[in-house]
Amino acid sequence: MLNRIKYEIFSLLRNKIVVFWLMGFPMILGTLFFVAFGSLADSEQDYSDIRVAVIKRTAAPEGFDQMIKALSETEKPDSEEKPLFNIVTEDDKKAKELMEKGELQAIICVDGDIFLEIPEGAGIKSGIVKSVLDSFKSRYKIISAAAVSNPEKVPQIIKAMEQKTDYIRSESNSANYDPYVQYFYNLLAMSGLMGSMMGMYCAINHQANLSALGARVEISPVSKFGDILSSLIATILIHNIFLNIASIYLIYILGIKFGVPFWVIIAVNFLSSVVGDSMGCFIGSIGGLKDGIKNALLLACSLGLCFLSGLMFGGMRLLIEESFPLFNRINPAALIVDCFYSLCVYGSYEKLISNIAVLLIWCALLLTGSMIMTRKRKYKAI
Amino acid sequence: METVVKVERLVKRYKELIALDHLELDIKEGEIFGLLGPNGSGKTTAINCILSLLTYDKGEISVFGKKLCADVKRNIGVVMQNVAVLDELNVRENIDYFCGLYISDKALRKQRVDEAIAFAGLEGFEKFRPKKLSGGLLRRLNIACGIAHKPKLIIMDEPTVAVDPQSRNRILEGIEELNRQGATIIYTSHYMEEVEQICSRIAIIDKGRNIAEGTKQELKKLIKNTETISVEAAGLTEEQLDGARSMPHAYECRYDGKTLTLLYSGGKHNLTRLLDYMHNEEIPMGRVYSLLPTLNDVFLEITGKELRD
Repeated sequence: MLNRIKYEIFSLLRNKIVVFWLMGFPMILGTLFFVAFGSLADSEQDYSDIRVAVIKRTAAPEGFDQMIKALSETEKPDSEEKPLFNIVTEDDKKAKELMEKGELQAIICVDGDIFLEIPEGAGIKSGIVKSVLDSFKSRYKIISAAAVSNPEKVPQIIKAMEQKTDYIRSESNSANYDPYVQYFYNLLAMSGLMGSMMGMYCAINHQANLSALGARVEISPVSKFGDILSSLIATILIHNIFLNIASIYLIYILGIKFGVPFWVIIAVNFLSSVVGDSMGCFIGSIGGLKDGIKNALLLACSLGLCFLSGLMFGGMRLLIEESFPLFNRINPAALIVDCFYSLCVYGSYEKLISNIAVLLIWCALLLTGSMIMTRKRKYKAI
Repeated sequence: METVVKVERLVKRYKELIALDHLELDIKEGEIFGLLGPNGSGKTTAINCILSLLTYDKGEISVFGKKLCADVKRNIGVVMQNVAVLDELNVRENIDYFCGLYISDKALRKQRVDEAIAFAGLEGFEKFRPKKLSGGLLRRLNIACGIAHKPKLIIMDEPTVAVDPQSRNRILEGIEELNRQGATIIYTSHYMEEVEQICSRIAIIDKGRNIAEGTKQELKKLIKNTETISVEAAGLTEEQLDGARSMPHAYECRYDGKTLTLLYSGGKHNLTRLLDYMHNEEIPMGRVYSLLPTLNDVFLEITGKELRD
């Protein structure tokens, strides 16, 4: 078996097409992404430290002060991180003066209700303040209404809102998250699934009804399962090396901040290579299809799944999340992307583990399917 | 001699098409057994059934007296019709890879690989990848990959297809050498010259049936013709042609105005007798040919069609 693995590895390493598509292409595309998004990322503004005045002419609604306090403080006071709001003044007159000078992004005024005053030609920062206040007001209304009609459900509603708030906070406050990094997550997912081309040959080269090489192997005394397995091991190993080299290039040469520990990248790369190669092995095992059709099918599957996970259009995953969320739970490309995204954005390993679990199920299903299709040693026709 | 491969009443159907129709083969140890037949006659199907790659509808196959299993496979080497090597591995690595499917001992494998390289005349090409090899060398690599583990039974399915005459001769000499070293060989081809040249026993297959089997001599005895003599002689008269027709043992006379052809069945000194007659009749002659029957004549007479389509 070791002899076969050794030569499979030699064979893959010397295959220029494999090396290009699995290592060169992600590096080239990564460089292009870097060039394209680099300037956009550089132009991104810092949306913290929004200069706000808070004027209270009447008593503020319950929870308002806590919200303002929370948004004008950082979680770690010693860090260099700036809070979202910078409360410049609470004086009505001074606020007006600053607003006229253009030194304020918003005036929040409590006068019975909560009002917001923003300067003419307000920018994104003013929009953020408006969004925060709208959110607060709508929640306040929901809780007030519930307190009248269903007081017993109020704690439940608050809990649900807290969860959502946590999510928003973690997303907006994550120091790691760069909105363009998801393209690089997708790039790695694509490279993982593109390995299906190699996986396909694991099946084709070991089946007498699919190739002359397969016939030569099948008439030998070696176990067919062991033979395909040795080929698959070599393929996964090489695929992993290529993926990790591409990852090292993206992270250490281009300086892309993935926002996750490197061991997570290695682990997810491993898993994505197994899924990709298993997918290839599965499609490759199908009898009665020409190699060209299998190749086209795999290319369509890999790129199609990556498109739906946001490789070409970053918002695609969110669109699917809104209209057909189940697909994001089963799309291997989306799951691979989500492994990185969830850890980077939420900082929690829970989502990562659940994504890994689904990917492992995919591997098991695809490999079982392949083994069922390739278990035959006698064919009706060759 | 011990039977190495026995095929009894083998039937293989592809839907309506009967590829093998009660095929019978009995291949003995030490033979070079030729399976001769036109394209589509069922030769490769028979080989694939023997190798247990194809299912079959009826019949029995045994190799070394057993059903095909891993132990039996260890003693079989196959040279496929299509070249089956790994493009990214060089000559030595390819042979080592396929030899490794049979032999796990590294030292023994190295020895066998060296022997296979020498046998196939691939010295100096060890580091070449298949794409850098000529057609003939590639075929030789294909053979080396199939025989490196020194099998007792070697099955060669049209190994010389698309090979230049020089390489073909080298391959055929190699096959005879393998046989001298003790291997039993099953050789399929639709090139009758090759089969005639190297095979000790031949089965002629047509439409999946074994229509004749025996040594070259035995097969040729199956037909009426034993000799064909052609003489270039223009302007023969009807009387002269009648004289030729009445030659002893001549059973057919053809004349196209330029060449007289006589077909003989048995008899000795047919050529001398005909030349004497031509001399006596003072008929001017050009070139003279005396041809012995070929397997194609055997095939033609048995099936009514040419072996080569």
